[in-house]
Amino acid sequence: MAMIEERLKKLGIELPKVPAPAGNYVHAVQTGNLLFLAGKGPLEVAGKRPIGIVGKDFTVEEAYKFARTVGLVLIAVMRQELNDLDRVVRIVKVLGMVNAVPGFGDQPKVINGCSDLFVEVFGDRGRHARSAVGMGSLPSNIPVEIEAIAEIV
Amino acid sequence: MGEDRGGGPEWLALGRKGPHPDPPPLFERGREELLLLAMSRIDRRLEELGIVLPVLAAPTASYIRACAAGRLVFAAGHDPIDAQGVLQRGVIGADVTTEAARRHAELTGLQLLAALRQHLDDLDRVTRVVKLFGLLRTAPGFAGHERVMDGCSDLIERVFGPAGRHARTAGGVFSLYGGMTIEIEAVIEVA
Repeated sequence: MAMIEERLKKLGIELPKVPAPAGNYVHAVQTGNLLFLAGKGPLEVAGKRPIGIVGKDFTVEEAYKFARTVGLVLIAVMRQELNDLDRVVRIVKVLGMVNAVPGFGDQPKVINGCSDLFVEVFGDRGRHARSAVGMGSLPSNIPVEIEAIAEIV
Repeated sequence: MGEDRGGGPEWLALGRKGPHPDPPPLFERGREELLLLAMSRIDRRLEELGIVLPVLAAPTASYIRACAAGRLVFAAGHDPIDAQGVLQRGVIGADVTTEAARRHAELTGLQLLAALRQHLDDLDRVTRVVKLFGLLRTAPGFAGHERVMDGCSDLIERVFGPAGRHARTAGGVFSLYGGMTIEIEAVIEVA
């Protein structure tokens, strides 16, 4: 069994179905040994898509969990594009955007939800450079959006 | 890329794959036809679409419009400037409608295309548009980012066909240069 798939199983992680893009774009584009992933939002919680602002509608802890589910979607996109997650050599860079109230300062704590997942799943290969910023709004009013670049073989 | 589209004078078929009628001899052609023949495929496509790329102003700060690294070209964030050179300003969802902002995204796409042509000399060198990143100046609670960004994405796809299909990220911010409505940067793969 493939290494990363085994790791996912061990962690009890089941990858979600990749939701269709909400506009005229694709989930990911491979160029050379890089895979550029489009920005993704969090998974539904109890059948409902999380909508709202962090620091007002959601706590940092809740947003951390949302960011983790965005990470699951991003890994699912990688599997869909590559067929085999063992082809991921390195998560190179993550850009995490938090739909936050003005003055919010805990963007890193929120995006850690995604980063921690990448390290759990990919080990050292999951350690990445990152930017985490607060936004004035996000598509469909989702609380978190994250994109990533992965090195692949 | 390169799939056939119907219509147009027969000699346009020159650049197409597959069987095509012999083009008329050069001496029978007018000067304008010859000029068109000398154009790159994407330039011809732009002409077919009736798209005139804007003349670019010098960057307003300490940066360059595009930078190549291997087969990738990283294009700087570009601005919504109309054919008269006017920067489109406002807050999307407050004093700018989603549909107007969509048009601004298209104007920004034209600026990106002009910058790429300037950088590459020939847009035929584009083998894939890899990624767009759009920052929209929005009112709090605005949610229509995808609809706005499609203004740029649709343009890119019209011009490059399947090679124009890209990954994309969009977000809303409180302020942008000069109070403009949108800023879009791009990563492009080139030959």
